[in-house]
Amino acid sequence: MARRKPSRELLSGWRSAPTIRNLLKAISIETGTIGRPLRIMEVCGTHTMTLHRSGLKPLLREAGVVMVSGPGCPVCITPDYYHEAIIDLVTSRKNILVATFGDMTRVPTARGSLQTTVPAPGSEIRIVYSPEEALELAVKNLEKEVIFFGAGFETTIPAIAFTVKRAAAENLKNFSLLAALWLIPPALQAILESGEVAIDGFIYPGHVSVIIGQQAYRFVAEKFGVPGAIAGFEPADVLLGILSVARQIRLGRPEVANEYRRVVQAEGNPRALALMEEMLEPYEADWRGLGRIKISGLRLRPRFQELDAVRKFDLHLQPAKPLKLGCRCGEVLKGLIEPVDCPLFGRSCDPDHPRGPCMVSYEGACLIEYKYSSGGRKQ
Amino acid sequence: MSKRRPDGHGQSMPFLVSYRLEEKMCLAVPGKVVSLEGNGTGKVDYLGTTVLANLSLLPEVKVGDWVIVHAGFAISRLDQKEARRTLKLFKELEKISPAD
Repeated sequence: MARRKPSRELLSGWRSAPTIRNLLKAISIETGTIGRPLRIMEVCGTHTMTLHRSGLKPLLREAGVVMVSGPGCPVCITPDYYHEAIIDLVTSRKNILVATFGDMTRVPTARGSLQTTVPAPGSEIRIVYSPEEALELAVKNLEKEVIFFGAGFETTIPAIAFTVKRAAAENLKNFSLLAALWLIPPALQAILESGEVAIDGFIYPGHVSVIIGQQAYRFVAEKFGVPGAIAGFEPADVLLGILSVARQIRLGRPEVANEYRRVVQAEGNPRALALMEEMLEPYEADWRGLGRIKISGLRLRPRFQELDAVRKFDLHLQPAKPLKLGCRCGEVLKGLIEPVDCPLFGRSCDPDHPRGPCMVSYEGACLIEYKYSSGGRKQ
Repeated sequence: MSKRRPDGHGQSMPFLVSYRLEEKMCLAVPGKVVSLEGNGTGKVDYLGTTVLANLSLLPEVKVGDWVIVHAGFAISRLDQKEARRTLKLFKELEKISPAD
């Protein structure tokens, strides 16, 4: 008989308690042999979420592994001045419709946030869940200039590229993109080159890897000799990735392991990669916390400049005022400090009154820490 | 379709059928393609909640496939054979003991 639906295990097998215990045991055997605790960076905010939500962090510590959060939160690494430029535009010009993802509207800047700002008459800010919804807004509101303020890594970039291509094909004149698009491998290279954080290995983001594949991280193993594994987002997935990194360290054989083979192909998603290549070009982008990094951002190719909000509205994406004193989001993003090390954390900064993007985004290390640990309570 | 309001912060969003799956974070749970709707789209079922997804990035996708959807786009197809292989590996881990 052909299987009509996958067995229950196919969905739930990644959370079973015996499996988690066995994986933790296997990890502690590896670290026991290595003879020292390991510091492993989980690059992606969703992995941070898995580690906290499933209570794995203290268990991993017992097994000899300290997990460090990385820069994998696009909302967090987008500099304030992107928000300030779009806030200036929507407050000063009529009939502008800014469409963006929900957490982007809450990022606090020197000019307030998109959520608290008062748009000019006829202008507005709308939350969307997919870039295509922004395109639909443009079709339905032809009298308005619709700007999609899109932040994302490789996971989201193909969806945005697809949408812009469609806008070009449909010759939609009132749609444009403010691109806050970032690439993960150059950021990892910058972290490794800076040498500020001692990292024994990386857990690579699962769904960024769906798009870019396994080869994109090869330089980490080959040039820097640092092990790594692509992992999925279920508790057992993350542990499997950590076990793989620990094994690579014990054997002294760093590589790019794929421990999320049910979803990630070695070559990535060729169609998505072709679309990115067609629509976008790399440039030296500025990351919050990490600064300028070569070929780390993507922007529209010159032939699509009519759809580029920066050119269309002459937006000035330049650092203006320094960041608000006190918020240490930049250091959190580099894995230099834990959220609780920030003097604002849980005191003047919490999810209702965020002082920086790491407390805003669902992928932000501070918000996740606050939500899932007692660290958020005032001491 | 489920019409739950996302827990936004007071914005009204009458224009979209929203499903709040931890905003646009990477959703670990695969959904099942239940129908193709033309124009490169299809309906994807998450244990009873159906969403319309763009399938253009996965040209070979069929009804019955399990897919990962991100920001409205299906980006990867679940390889059930590989999934079973990993689950089998978990079973083998049970044999590991500190005495090994």
